Amino acid sequence: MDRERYSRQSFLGPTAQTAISKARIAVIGLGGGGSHIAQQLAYVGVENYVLYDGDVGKRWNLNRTIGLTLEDVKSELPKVDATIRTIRALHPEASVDRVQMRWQDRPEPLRSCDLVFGCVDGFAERRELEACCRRYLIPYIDIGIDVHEVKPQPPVMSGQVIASVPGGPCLFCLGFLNEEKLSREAAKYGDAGVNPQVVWANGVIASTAVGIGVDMITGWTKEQRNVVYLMYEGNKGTLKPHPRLRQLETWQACPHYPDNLVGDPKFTRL
Amino acid sequence: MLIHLKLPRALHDRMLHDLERPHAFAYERVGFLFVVKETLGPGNLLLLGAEYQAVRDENYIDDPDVGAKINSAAIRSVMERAMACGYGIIHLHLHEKMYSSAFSKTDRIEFNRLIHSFHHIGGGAVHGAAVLSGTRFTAYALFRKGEPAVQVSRLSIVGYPLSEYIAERSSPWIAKGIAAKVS
Repeated sequence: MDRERYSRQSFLGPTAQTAISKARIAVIGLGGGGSHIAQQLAYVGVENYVLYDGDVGKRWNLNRTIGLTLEDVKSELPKVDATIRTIRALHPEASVDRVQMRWQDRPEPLRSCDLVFGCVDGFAERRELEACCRRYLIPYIDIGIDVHEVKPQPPVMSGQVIASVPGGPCLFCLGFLNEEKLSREAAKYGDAGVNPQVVWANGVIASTAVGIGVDMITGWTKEQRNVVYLMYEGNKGTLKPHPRLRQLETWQACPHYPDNLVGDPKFTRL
Repeated sequence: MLIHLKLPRALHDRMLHDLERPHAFAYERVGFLFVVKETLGPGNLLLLGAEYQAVRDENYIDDPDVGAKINSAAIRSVMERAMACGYGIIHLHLHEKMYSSAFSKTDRIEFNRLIHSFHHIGGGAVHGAAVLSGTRFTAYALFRKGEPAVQVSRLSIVGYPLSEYIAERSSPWIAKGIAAKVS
């Protein structure tokens, strides 16, 4: 363990750096949010990654995708390789499971992770990812940014950071997912659309997500929680607990992911 | 073979709460964790904690020569649940925190007697036993009757924050020693 390298984060605790270096962490989606997260994880000292993204870098990614360059776009470098380059610049020996496809097409590497960051588009994608994480008892941290045109008012930028912990409230319990949103998206043949995105907003929620992830791995704040739901108001530049958390005061158990629904779904004889 | 046992924190805390309760005459309590097995790759197995079943007070047998003894009703109830749901069964108890979590001679004898019998359920589930002591654990899994037990490498408690028990090193002779002695 390189004590000098991590001396500025020794306040995380005497066993924190070991825990960080041993943790196996997945980042699903390496665009504007995921590229930030992967870079920060590398700086923090994570050495085991599972990285999913099927896309190559395009010109319109260059306003926000950390580590992506003009040369990368010209050579059609996959986003996952741009991220791996960022990681290897800090950890040449890092273990990286590179998956240049949708995670649903190769979910096996995900299942052995200690923590998953979801930086995906669309509600259906989030539902599937959370379901997989719940079944394999993996904490899932979701981030997203949205910009709505509300003419004649200025656009409204908002976002979320949600930590869905097995046994705690899920994205449905929090009201972030519901059947109406999923149906509306399905009616567009699952097209989540092209979301406006800017680097600074992605940076805020990505950094917050990494902070939550590090706390989950190291326990440095000594906080014990069963959920995190932070609301980002981009126009005001604020990040605060979502008001929906107040509705959880009487929450007892998640009805969407019962505790004993673990592992892959299986057929059983009735 | 790397075996990783994962429990959600609420299940783990419920289990500990039950096992730490005093009993009228038994020196210690035992309980049963139901697990679902998933293979992550060659030589890499995940056991996911699904349910915990406590042993009812009336199902303990008063035997001053052992820490805890339970009757056939308790065992039958556990096996029925496992068979109905396709679960593996992990027999659990605690050692005092100042002592090692390593299996005692009684623990090994009980493993041979009880854990192998769980495989009569069939279905290919993995059964085993675990001892927790403070922040340490020792656990063994049995894939098939007649084979040596395999030590469980990791026990993770999934919550905010994540935590891990420390696996106590165990002599391979112990695993061999708790291979089936089928009569």
